[in-house]
Amino acid sequence: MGNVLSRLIASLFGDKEIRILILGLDNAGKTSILYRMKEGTFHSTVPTIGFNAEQLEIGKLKAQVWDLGGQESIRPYWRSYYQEQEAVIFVVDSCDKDRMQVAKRELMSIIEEEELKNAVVCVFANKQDMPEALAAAEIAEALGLSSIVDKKWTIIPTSALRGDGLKEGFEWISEAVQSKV
Amino acid sequence: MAPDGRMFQTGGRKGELHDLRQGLNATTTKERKNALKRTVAAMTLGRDVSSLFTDVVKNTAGDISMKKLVYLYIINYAQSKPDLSILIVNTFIKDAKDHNPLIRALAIRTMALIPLEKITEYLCDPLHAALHDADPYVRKTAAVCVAKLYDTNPTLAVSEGFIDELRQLLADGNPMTVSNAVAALSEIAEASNNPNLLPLSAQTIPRFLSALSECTEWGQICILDAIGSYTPTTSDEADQMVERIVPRLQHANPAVVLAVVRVIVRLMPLLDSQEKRDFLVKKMSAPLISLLTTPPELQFVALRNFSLLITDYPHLFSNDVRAFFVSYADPLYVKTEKLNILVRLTDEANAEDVLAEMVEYSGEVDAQFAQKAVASISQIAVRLPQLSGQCVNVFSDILKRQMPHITGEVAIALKDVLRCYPRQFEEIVPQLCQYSELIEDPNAKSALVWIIGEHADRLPSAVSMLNVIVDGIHEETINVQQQVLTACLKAFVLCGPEAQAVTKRMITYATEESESIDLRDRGFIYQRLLEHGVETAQKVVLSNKVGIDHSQSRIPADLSKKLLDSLSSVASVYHQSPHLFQGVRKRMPITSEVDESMAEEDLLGLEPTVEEPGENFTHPAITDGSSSVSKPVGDSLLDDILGGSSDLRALPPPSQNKINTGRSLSLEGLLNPPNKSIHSSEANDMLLSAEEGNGLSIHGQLVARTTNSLFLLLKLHNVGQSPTCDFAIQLNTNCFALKLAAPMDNINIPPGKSASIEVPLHVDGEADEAKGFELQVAIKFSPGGIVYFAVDLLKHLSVFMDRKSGPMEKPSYLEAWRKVPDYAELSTTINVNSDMANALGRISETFASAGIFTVAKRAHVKPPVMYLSSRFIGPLNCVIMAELTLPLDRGTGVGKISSRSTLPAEMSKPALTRFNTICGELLR
Repeated sequence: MGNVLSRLIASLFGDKEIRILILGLDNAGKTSILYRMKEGTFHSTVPTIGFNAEQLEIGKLKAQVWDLGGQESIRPYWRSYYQEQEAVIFVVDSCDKDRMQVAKRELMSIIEEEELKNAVVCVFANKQDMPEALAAAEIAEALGLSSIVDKKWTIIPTSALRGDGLKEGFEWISEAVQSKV
Repeated sequence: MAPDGRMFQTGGRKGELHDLRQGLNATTTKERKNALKRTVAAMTLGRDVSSLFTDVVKNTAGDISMKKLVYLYIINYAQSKPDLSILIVNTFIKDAKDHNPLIRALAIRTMALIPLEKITEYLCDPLHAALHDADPYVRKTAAVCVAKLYDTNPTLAVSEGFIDELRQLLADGNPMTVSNAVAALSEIAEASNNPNLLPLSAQTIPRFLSALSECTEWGQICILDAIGSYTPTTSDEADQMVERIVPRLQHANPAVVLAVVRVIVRLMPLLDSQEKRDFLVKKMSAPLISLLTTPPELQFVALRNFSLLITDYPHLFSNDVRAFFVSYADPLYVKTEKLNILVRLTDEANAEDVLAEMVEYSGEVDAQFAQKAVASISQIAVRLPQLSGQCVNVFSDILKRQMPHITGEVAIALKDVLRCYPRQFEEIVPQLCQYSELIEDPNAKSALVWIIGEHADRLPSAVSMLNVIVDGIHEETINVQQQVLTACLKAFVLCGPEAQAVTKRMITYATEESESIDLRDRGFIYQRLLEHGVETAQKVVLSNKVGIDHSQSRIPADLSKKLLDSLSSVASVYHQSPHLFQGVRKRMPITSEVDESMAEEDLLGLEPTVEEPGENFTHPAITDGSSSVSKPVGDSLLDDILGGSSDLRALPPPSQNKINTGRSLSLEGLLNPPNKSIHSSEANDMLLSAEEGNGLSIHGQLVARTTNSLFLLLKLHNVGQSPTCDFAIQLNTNCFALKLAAPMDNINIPPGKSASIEVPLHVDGEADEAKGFELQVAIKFSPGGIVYFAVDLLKHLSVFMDRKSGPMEKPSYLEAWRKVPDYAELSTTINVNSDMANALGRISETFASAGIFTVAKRAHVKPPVMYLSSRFIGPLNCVIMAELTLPLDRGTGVGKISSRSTLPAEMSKPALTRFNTICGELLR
């Protein structure tokens, strides 16, 4: 009973917490994005063996954000985190042209996941600060984003180093999730 | 919110796991926390909630109470989910850098508790940091974690330099950190058998001592344990140490008190002044006596330790005898121990009090205790001659009470006293005899009869009493009968003709009626003694008695010294040598091979330890019953022996008499390919040609499946013109007692086709060694009639080696080895694969999967030697033992195997030849 009530109150006051999953290949910049958002500064990180979980506030919205390690050995366990996620941020290293196909394959398998069918997908074309970075449009092309029809998605050029694009990305998610409710 | 107690109520509902999973993934922290509590509660109740691993792990991001719950869960289930455990690593690393020292310590501790390589490889960096953490709480936790890491992965702990860092912590400013570092180093020292790991010197000891007064009680015990093994070089140094630790005697924790006493007792002989020593003994007594006010279990431990102490310090409790008086409420085990100590504390000054107490105890309703009290009195009498008269008077009083269980015990007690002081207390004998009808217990009766015999000349009723006893001699136990026989002879020697009749009766009974060989022999000896004359008999039966050993302790001096050094340990409670208990804590990496453990010992600067055959020794492969299936090393080799593929052993146990006619064989081959390989590759030895087999050719061989189940695989090929049917099979008796487990199913083989059958066999028939290694088989079928063929069992010897039996016990191995004459030993040189030559662990494993077990190995002698045993299944009950000498250097690769067997001589040689060949194949 108490739970129902508190949930009701929470929804009344807009206190709802949404859940966001940050996925992507290793060395794409997932953890850096998370902590750029959380602390406002850039941290160079060590490879994440496991996951990071943080509470973020995007405007009025509270978000529980999971950043999962991108190592090949950890990818099989991504699916244990899919449950009840409202949004997926898929981070792509814009300079890593060689592994674009690997990224595409991972993204597509995420899209097809039954548990994530209601989640919105926001692709972050990260590392835009690098001179050799591909443009967002090129990446969208390479990942075959246009083929996604049954999901709300977008692609945003970002740089965790400079902090560009992150805020926009999270705001897009916030709106996309709220409009869905 | 619900009170936490409700978490433990068993729901047992169908969807409990589902509910928990929902809860763990809930959106609000409160729900998640609640679900987490319920999950951990379910875990502590023993329900399997391991499937929630990922869901639980997600919650590490919460507050510290949630972290604690999650970590608790992880510690419990990490080992069963090694793959998923990697998901926590990042959380650990992050938490190890948390600003809250509690969380930092928690993360390090949890990580160290998970014995998984995957985790420990990430543990090193945070652990290094934690050992140098600014917060002492983290440092002290980290110190213990090093010991844990060493337990999981000794090589890593050494190579990462943790041991040195731990040593540096000994100089830490925080007493808790110092005590934990001491504890960790002591534990590692014990596990690695390197007592020098913990630097004990005149420089370090004062540091430990100053930490002593400030750390917790358990820390104090650790430090006291550690400094107990240090021997100061001068009396002054010892004096200073004692000075510093004596105040700890006032500690409320009995373990601390005993630990202090242990150190003092060790240091005592090093002190110069007698005065100082006496002072210390006095100082110790009060705190020790106060241990007798603790709960009975602790009292028992204390009392067992006291009995060690009073051997060396008889005056320790001389003023406190009353403290050992038994109280009504004491449990029996405490009462007994108190009596033991009382006996040893009694002297002339307190004798009156003690004996009065003893008399009191002998009247207790608890028979066991009352008897023990009576026995104690006789011990006092035997120990202190000046008190013996007093004790006998006490016995006289006790006898007057006429209690059956006590009267018997008094007889036993008096026997000792009278033996110890011959002809001194004869006046008590008639009194005892007066109550003789109360004595029922055989031991007591023996004692009584002995007393009567010894005092026959002073006891007018002796002969008549003996007469009465001889009348009912049939009902007595053999011990009493023997005692009566001797007593009669003594009576005859002492009293002459008066006792002649009863002696004769007794000797007649012994030599003619009794069925006991011992009694009869004794009867005959006495008869012949008497034939030699009474004087000869007297010399024998009334010779001088060997005195009773009344030394104060039954413990040998050297053991007593060892026990004093390990005061307040299990050893000192059981009064057993301390090394008997050390194996429990000693953990060595089980899977590591010899090379590896040697390298690790070298790193530690150790003398390599030689594993003698007498040492404890675990074999990794034996722990797993199905090791022959899962061990990859032995697989291919085993295949060679069994002549099969590894698929074979992966198959489920086959149904009885699985029969495939030609057509269904191909069908099954399609459906189940591995099965086909059996039939095509297994039954490949020609046993009977078509000419001999009346149109039926038979191929086949023996195989062992997963465990010790045996099968005779036969492939029958019908080359005749007409179909064959009505099959029956029969085995002749054979040396391995092979018997059919089930009759052969009826099959029908059309002309030109073949069928494969599996005949399950048992080994519970009768072993017939006359047939040698031949299994004679008869198959009856129509229209061919009966055909005979033989299977060479020697060729299949490996099938009979029991893979489940495990190695022989060392003593019985040695005994069996010696029993076989040297000439029956068979030595063969063998080539050893250079990869295996120095990996004794791998050889053991390979051999174990083939049913040859390592009894002992000496890895460090040159060349290395292994002792092997292999037992045959079935009633033949034979063992092959072998000494495998490995090549000294890898290059030559020539080793030697010398084997012996308990088989009959004519079978031994061929069996050993085959056995040596099998071993050679395994090592190639």
